[in-house]
Amino acid sequence: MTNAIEIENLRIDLPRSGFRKRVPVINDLNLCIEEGEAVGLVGESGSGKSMTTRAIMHLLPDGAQRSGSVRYRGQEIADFDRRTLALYRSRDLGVIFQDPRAHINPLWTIGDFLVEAVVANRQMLRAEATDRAIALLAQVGISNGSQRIQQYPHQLSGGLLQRVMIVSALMPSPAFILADEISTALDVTVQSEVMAILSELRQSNRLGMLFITHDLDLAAAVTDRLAIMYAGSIVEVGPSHEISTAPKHPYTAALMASRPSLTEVRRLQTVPGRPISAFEAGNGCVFASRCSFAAARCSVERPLARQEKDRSVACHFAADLAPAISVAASQ
Amino acid sequence: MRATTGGVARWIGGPCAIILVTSFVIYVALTFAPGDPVAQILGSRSSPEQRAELARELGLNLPLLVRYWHWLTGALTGNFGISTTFRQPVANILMPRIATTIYLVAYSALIILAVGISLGSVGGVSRRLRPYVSALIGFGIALPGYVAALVLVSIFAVYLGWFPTFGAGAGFLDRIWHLTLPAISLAIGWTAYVAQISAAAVREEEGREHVMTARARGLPPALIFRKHILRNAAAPIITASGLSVAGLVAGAVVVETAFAIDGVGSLVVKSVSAKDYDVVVAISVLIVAVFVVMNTLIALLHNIVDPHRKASDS
Amino acid sequence: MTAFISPADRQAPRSGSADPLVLLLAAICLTIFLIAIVGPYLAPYSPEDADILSAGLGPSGAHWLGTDALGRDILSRLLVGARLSIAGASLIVALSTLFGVSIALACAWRGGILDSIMMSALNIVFAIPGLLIAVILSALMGAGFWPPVIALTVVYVPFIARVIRSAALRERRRAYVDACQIAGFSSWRINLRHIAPNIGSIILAQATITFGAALMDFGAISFLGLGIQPPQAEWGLMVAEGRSELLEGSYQLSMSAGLMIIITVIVFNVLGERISDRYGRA
Repeated sequence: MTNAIEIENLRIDLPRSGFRKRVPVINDLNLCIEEGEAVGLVGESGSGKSMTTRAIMHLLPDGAQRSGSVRYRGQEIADFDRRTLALYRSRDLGVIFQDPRAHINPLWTIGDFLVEAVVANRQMLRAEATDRAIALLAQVGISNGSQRIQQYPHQLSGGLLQRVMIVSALMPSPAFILADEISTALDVTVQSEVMAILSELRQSNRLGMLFITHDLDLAAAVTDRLAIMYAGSIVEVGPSHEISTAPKHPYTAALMASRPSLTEVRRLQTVPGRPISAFEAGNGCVFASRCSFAAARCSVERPLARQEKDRSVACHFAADLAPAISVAASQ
Repeated sequence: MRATTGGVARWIGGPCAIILVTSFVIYVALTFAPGDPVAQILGSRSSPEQRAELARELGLNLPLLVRYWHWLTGALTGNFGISTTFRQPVANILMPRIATTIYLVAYSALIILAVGISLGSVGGVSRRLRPYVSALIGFGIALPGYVAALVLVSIFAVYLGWFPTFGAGAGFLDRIWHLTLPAISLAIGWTAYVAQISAAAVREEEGREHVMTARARGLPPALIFRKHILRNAAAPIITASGLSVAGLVAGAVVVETAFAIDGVGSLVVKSVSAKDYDVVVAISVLIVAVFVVMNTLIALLHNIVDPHRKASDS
Repeated sequence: MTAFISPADRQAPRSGSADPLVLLLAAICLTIFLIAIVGPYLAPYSPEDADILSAGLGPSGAHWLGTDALGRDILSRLLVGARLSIAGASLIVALSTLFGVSIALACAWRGGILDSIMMSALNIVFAIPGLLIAVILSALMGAGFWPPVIALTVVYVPFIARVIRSAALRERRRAYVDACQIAGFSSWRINLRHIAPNIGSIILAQATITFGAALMDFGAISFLGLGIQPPQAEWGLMVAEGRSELLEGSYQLSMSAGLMIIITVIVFNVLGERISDRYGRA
């Protein structure tokens, strides 16, 4: 298989009030996604997940400084000229944003929102695009599409709008979907329906996907591989079912232990300490300050990701800790 | 159907009521102004009988409400009374001057809209140019029209000799040539105001999530700016522009005086000094009417640009 | 004593040092006020004594800014003129803030019929452009110092009342106001001791920005010949007086008076903006 997206040694520094220099929010991030593969990027808020999606779109905030590389099908996206970048964003990527209410312009109709990108980029004529939009709306379970496209966003519920967002991402037949916390704004029943629709569409269209979430279980259910992110770097990568059953990094284990259980009523176990940002991590392991297994070495030396078959873990003691961690995670 | 008749009542009845009330207030206020129109018309050597005769003729001995009623019915048929200084019907004096003032105000309005909105857009979008734009806006807001008028005259009329120093001109091109400096002086303050509001609105809309969506979808920047930034920032820009154009009519009073332009604005100042109150009342009511109509237009435009209201109407 | 505290009482000085720009601007404001007070004593010549022999002189050691068409020293007239200009603008701001805030507090507190009558009355005043009100009032009262002051007060009251009313309404809904009422405080005390201080920074910002507009409009009315009359000195009037000299290519009179207005307005506007940025917008 070939890689659709390769992120190598990515580092992003942003200006931050109260600091004279820019501070890193993503530090030494490495991640590959194969064609047609679904990868879940899991982490707490502030870990740099959304910044990663913005790096893939090459749409960083004002004043951001980027080093390292992000390649799409082998080509560095920072080298794209304006036209290529526009085509890359519009045809190759489909982006589904977290909050459809905020991410869809309230002043234009649903139909206008759906067709504008493919029409503006001369991919389709307006009539053609409208037909496709109605067909796709039907696929996501909105049968009265021809009426819906005449409505304004405020006339639709959050769940319907999220489906509209999914359709908008699929309109140009992209090769790759970026889904940024798409379920957070929805209530649980709508959430599972939207997820089912997305998985189905992804499989029938053989789409690659980067699925960003803080919900490890949800990510494990809809993706092939998981990447666990903490303080701007990825601490563990591996097949979804393996990570969600046998984590190797202490942070992954702590995340799993802090999930609310659906079957038993107990006090939530939380990861001790507060999540830090990339710029707060010193030279050592990013998780050292909160890790219950941390040793002296952890706070002075940044662990490199160690590849072991199809899993990779950035922990000095991954091998030694495996038994202890699986106990911690299953608690 | 009922919704439409209700709408008509609201959109036409409300403004008319305001114009009616203000015209009453202005009319009554100016009846109490010092100065006797009868003595002005007849001169000081007239006999008391002559004065009483003329007062009866002019209806000055009638109760106030009746006089207002006569004035109102007259005004609705285009009869605004008689000017004591020109000794002519007010309407005859106003007509040619209204044309001049309309030229001046329209010219200024064009400058305000074109320069104000573009300057504001630049200041809202470009981080690099923002400090310069806001300095320019701050200066424009603090520059009084009468000072701007004299600065422009001394540079472009006296020193460079490109434009005339006074007068309104005749015919279209001559008028444009004569009114360029007045229109700019009249426009500067309001342009800065529109630019300030536009810059703030554009800047706010530019940071919205849906603009990021549009960028993420690879839309051309010009389209994003027009359709997703400027269009969404329209409401405050419309309000500011409408208020500006309404304010221009009053601002014309100062600029017409500064440039010795024979328009409605300079006429009202002269008439006040000459105690020619029929003219003052007519012009005041006219200015208020323009003001109120502009405000109504702003509200109407707001309804058009906001899909929430559009959708709930249908 | 009060068992509970309204936010104004516990508002400690904000952390961080004072904005140096604000200090500088405040210093300039003070200087301008100082000139308005002591200007006549600083003036090297009498501002109203005409001297035909030295008419229309350019800047020199004897007359730093030159003389006007009647031979009066421009610098002296500028210094003395500050008094009427600044006094006019200050009075307009003080009166319109006093009335505007009182109306706003009363409307926000009582609501109901009082509120709707007051607001529609203010809307009618809004429907008449400010300069027109000034023109009409000066027709009623004759020219001079007070007609423009009263006229512009009438013009600015609705603006201030509208902004302050919405701030006061927001403040009125807060819990400490209920607490005050439960404790049995009089409406006067709650409004004057608690609500007004809590929206004090909004009032201050509004007053500061109004000052600039008042100074420009006060000058405009004198410029039109409906306000301060010659031979008195006032900045707007001086701009008008310089017009004929300007056509002959001598700029000092109009430009120096114009510049004084512009500088003063800019200083007050920027200061007002800073205050409202720092303490939350209205």
